[in-house]
Amino acid sequence: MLRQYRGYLWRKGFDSLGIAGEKFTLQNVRKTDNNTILVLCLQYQIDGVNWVNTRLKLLEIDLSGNVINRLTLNQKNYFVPIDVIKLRNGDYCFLNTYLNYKNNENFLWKVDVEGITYKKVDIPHKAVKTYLDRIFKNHDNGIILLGRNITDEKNIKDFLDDVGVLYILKVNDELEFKWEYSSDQLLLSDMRLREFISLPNNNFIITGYKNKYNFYIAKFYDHDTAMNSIQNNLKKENIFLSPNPATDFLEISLPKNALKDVSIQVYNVFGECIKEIPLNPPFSKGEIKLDVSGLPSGVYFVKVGEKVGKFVKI
Amino acid sequence: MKKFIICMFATMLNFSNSQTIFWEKEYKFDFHLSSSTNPVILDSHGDIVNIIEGTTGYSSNSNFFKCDLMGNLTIPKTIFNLEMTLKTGLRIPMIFYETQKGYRIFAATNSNFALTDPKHLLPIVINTENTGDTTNVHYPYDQNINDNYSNFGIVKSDNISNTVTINNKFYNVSVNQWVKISKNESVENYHIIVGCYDSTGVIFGEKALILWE
Repeated sequence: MLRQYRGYLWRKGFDSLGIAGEKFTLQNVRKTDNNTILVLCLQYQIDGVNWVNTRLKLLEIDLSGNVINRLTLNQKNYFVPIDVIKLRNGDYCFLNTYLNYKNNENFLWKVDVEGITYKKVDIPHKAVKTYLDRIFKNHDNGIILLGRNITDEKNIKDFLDDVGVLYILKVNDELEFKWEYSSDQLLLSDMRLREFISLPNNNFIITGYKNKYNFYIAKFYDHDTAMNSIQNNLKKENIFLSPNPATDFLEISLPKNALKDVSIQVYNVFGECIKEIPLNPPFSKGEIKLDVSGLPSGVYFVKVGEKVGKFVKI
Repeated sequence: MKKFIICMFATMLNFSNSQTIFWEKEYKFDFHLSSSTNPVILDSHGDIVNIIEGTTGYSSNSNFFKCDLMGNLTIPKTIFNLEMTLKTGLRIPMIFYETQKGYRIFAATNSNFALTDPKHLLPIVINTENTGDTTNVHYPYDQNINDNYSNFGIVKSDNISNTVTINNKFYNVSVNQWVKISKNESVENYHIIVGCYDSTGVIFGEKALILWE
């Protein structure tokens, strides 16, 4: 029986297992965008010194203490769930580590609200070992994973003292690889990368602990988010560019309502603004000639306000 | 020509997989950081705010520091002073959120290690200014009463953040191995406990006895 306490503040116990020999550890607690609480647990048995029959247990709890979803997931290979996020469409994405691989292979597991597997993707270790500790949702609905690569076997002491390099991985919400970043210099020991903070202009900040005494903070530019932003805008494309491909000049035909915008920006495929031309109204015809002769060959995007067009410079 | 353009685009997209790092910085502190799991927030002033546990010797403290968006450390500060808690014991920040005037920190304390399991702690709430200067502290429960730890207590998990804050309330989650079935009797029966605490650290209820489904 679940008993509510007087008032709306409460303390409750959930999920009494009642199975002899079962162990149960708390793996992570996260809040969702919908203000619910995700409680991620590992349920397992011990055979000698090994953990066996591992299962992932997830409770989603609302702010009144009601369980609104409850999942138990298992699979053939023994594993440990590490972290969880809830995606915009209501699916869950779990970061897990296999128990029976020496090199610390991780895998992502995306399931729907009923626990039906949508996709499972292995993330092979990049060096001697890869520790992935945290999973975050970016504002473009991409998934950011933070961890470290252990590059030298000599550095392996124990779990907390291994010396590795910073490692960041991004996949999209379909769990397709987008990019990875592995520092070639920064050594991290006895640490975790803790937080991911999404910033405007496709930037992000990560923080963590480099070692027992050093706080670490770094700022990155996410080219993939920049590309997504431009490509999403392409759906609203109503700038006509000609000739396309272009060699020396590009003629830009703007809709009349674009003439209030203050400038034309040209982006490369990395999402970097490489040219900005002020608009000096009035443009009665809404046509502008842009000198592109100095641009290297490649694909470029022209952005005026919210409208985007794509052209190729040859 | 068409084939050439497609190949070139694919190559350039592949090349764009490398990310740009603008800067990276690190700051050395004279306390031990490793057990801290507190979230870091970007506040409404555009500052990155950290309130973390730091241990020195046998005691731990709440430490406040801010970085600007260039990663410069603008405020480093120790929040607790000795008048706030006993000289020994734990003062572990669990979670915090931004308020109108500054920040509200939900912390765990245990004034006497011998009293109970050091993982079982009592809540306190500290309000600070934007600068990290403390304005007041709420101690909702007497730290010297043993029953308070089991009735109102919170648990700090190792290496994970097991507390979240939503709508100005704090939710502490733990797994309990032993379930109390009477005053003197417990049975092994793992279950999850979630407690909701208000902005002064109070968990409402008569005695928050553990009940389960």
